[in-house]
Amino acid sequence: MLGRLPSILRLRFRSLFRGGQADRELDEELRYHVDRQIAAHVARGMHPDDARTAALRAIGGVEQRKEQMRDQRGVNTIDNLIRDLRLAGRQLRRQPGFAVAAVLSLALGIGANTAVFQLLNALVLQPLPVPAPRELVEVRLTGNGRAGRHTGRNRQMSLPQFEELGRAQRSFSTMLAFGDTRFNLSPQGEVRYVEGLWVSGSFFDALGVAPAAGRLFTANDDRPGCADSGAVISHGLWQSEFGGRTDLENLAIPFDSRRVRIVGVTPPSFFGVEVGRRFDVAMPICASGFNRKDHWWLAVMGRLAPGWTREQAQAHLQGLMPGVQTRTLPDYDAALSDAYLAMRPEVVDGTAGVSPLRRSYERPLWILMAIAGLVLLIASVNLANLLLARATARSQEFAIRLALGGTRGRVLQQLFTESALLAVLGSFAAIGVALAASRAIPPLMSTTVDPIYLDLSIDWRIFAFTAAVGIATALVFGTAPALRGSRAAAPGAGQRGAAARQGLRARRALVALQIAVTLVLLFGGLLFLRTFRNLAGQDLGVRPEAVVVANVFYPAASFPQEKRAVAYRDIEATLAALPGVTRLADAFTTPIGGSFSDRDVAVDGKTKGNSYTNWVGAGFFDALGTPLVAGRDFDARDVPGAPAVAIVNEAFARAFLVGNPLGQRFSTLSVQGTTEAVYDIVGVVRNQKYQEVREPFPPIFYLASSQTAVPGLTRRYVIRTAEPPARTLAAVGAMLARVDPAIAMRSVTLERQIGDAMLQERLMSRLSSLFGAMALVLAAVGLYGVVAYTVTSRRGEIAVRVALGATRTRVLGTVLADVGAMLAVGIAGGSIVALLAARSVQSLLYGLEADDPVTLLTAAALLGAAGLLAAVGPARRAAGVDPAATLREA
Amino acid sequence: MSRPSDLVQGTLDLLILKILALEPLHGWAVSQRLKQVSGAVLQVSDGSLYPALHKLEQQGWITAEWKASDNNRRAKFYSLTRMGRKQLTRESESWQRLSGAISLVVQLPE
Repeated sequence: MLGRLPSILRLRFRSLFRGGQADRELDEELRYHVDRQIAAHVARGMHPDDARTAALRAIGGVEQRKEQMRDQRGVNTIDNLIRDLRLAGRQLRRQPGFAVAAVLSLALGIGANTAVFQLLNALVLQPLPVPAPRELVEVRLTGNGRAGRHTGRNRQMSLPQFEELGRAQRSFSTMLAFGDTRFNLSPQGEVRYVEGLWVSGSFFDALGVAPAAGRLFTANDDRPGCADSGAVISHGLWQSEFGGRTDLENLAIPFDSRRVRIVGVTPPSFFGVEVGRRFDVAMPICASGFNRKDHWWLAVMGRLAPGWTREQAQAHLQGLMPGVQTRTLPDYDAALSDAYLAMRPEVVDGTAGVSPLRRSYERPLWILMAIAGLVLLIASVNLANLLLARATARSQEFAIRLALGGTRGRVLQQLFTESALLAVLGSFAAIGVALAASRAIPPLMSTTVDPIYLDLSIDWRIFAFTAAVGIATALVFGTAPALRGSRAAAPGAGQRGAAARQGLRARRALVALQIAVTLVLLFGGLLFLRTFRNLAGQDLGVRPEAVVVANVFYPAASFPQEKRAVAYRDIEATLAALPGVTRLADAFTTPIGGSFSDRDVAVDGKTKGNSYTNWVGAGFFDALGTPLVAGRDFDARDVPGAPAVAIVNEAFARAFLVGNPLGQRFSTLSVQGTTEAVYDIVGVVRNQKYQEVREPFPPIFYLASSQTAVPGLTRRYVIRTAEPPARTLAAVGAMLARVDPAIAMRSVTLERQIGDAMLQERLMSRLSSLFGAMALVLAAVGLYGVVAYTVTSRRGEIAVRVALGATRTRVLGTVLADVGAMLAVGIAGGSIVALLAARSVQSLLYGLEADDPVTLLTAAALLGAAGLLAAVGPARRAAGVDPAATLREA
Repeated sequence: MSRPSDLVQGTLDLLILKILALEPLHGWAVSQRLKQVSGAVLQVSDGSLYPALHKLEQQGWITAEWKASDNNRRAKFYSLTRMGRKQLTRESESWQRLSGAISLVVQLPE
């Protein structure tokens, strides 16, 4: 077969593209045969006319023969397809309104699906762009033995744990660890953070990344006490910061009041191993100076050694873990030590890297995928309805084709070709829609300090997905009309009526289905919308509007300890003098600010529990709008050396204290269980939230920052302003640069900072309500179409009724009752599905149950109202039928 | 009647291949040769000859060339390809097997 392939292909191509020539040759060949046959007959004495007849009869009809041979060449299938495509194109051009509406709704529907899939692909499906990504695994630790210092997003292990595990294990050919951080590339003025990584020396080797320039780190770069191992930078930073200069030896970046030379550049496709992030600068772990046993900051990955499976590796590490934990046990009290020793390793798939972003967005994205799919289903049903109407209208055409000898298959094929043409046009437009939409989404997931990066380049998965969705869509909206059209009988008045009625029944069923699906989407959209409203409307214990949070950072070298108090006093005085500033205070953190600190507290020698803590200056509560309910704020009395004082919130008092908190004392405990300090409670404030919007008000105790002996290198200010916050924000930035050019600073409004904590919910509520609204409009359009069509095709009947004395109200009522029936069936069916489906999103909701009856009623009411509204126009037209005119027409 | 009912299916192909194996011929010559060699036993209508020729050409077993014929008109000459020769061997063998088996059955004493 393979040997014959070239000649076969040549012949097929010739038949297809040079069909004219093939036909001419065929003609000539047959003519030659007939002529020779005639000559032969004549030679045998036959009359020339008889000879011709005999020759032609023998060959059996030259035209049929030619058609048969064209079929043989396989040309007709493709020929027919091209003919069908031309016909379909003509049909669409004849009704441009229909064509545009159909292609547009498909483009939006398929585009929405492709966009969501693109995000899913980038976040969940795409393997890391490194060699043999399927060998990669991540090692995580389960259990809650982590107390002490936590930094970064992937805080799975401490450095001693990684080193011990690496020494003992045999299941991985290589292991790597990294911690994420930020490096400030602008040591003065407005802070310019870039994404940083602390990487083990094995990092790039284990991943199999080759340098785009210079060299990457090796084990030699990552040795204890390394002072100057240099930095590896990303291709992106290399281009933006250094214009891709190849004289790497002359390049350096600022780090911690010194400059670090650049040793190498990674290739453009390499973004690190954390999906959703893009690293800019990597330095070896040794340069961080972190090596505490109770510092949690590393993510650990490995490449499975040949012959090892994930399960075997996990079992292997399980066996090693007790030894590793014993050798790396931090200085914990008994309870914490037990928890630490009980921690167990888990070996999970690392093909697509590690990603905290994936953990929070994977589920919402799958839900959005389902929602987008349903929207497309509604759009396809609309199209099916339109095409059904056209098929019914064209039934006469099909009947004639069947009568003339066209086969059902051919009619079916032609109708499917029309649907497929629409689907193909829609799919192409959809890719454009998807490109725009999917690029709009990552910014919605990003915050000012946490930029999200997703690789949204179009790969084969995107194309395969779009093609599959397009084909599925064409099947959904093409099948019913095609079957209807091909079943067209020979035309006869009675039969045509029956066909129309039957078509109508199918279309009404489709509309009911649409309404049901729309209800599910509306319900879901409303659930997410209300979740976001509940969160955004949460009482955080502060009035965040008109508050600006400014962070200042001093480089260690230029900021000796003895100068700090004075310098901060200067800054405070200048900030307070800015126009509009009404209140100003310093703070370790602000509600939902990201930083946190906590301590176990004891009262009367008995350990009570864990409480958050915050160091704040006088006026902090006033600036944030949190009322003091008893006692006093911090003031000038609270200096180093004076009695240590604290203000507690109401949740603290309720949880740990009995009676009036004022005048009571509590002590804080270290992780070893010893008493650190004792505080007198001088005030009680209303509750504030601390880290999470979703959590209930936690116990917090506030300490006076003025009692800290030596101020730190960084300080955060909360500023309440009477001016628009944006103006104050700008003024603060300009002012700090004037006070001391050595300061780095970053400021943000408190509202923005809090809003950043609800990104996932905001994204879900926006997209799901957008999809819900799309579904509502589509369903209303679908309903309108069917009602309008019904009214038109029943005009005769309505005219008879009116002539026999039916009132306008009666006619209106009949039509609306009909619509009501479709709505009722759809809403009832949809409600059941909605309630079942909603269970799966319960974990994403806040402040309401997944079967919330009010939300369901709202969705049903919205849908009912929209449906009736869509039906009013056609219904009134029905009521306005003039019996005399209509009946004369008929 | 595109297919002669008295001709075992597939045997027309075999006959054409066999005839063309001797020398390249045009369609009319093939039809004459068929009539000659099989006498009146095998009725092959001219109507089914050309579709069969084209099918064999599409399958790559024979190839065609326009040449001047014995009466000096252009005619389409068919000849066997290498693949066609192999196909002929295969079909002849299976025909031998089949006809051998059938004659054995037919010769069974009653």
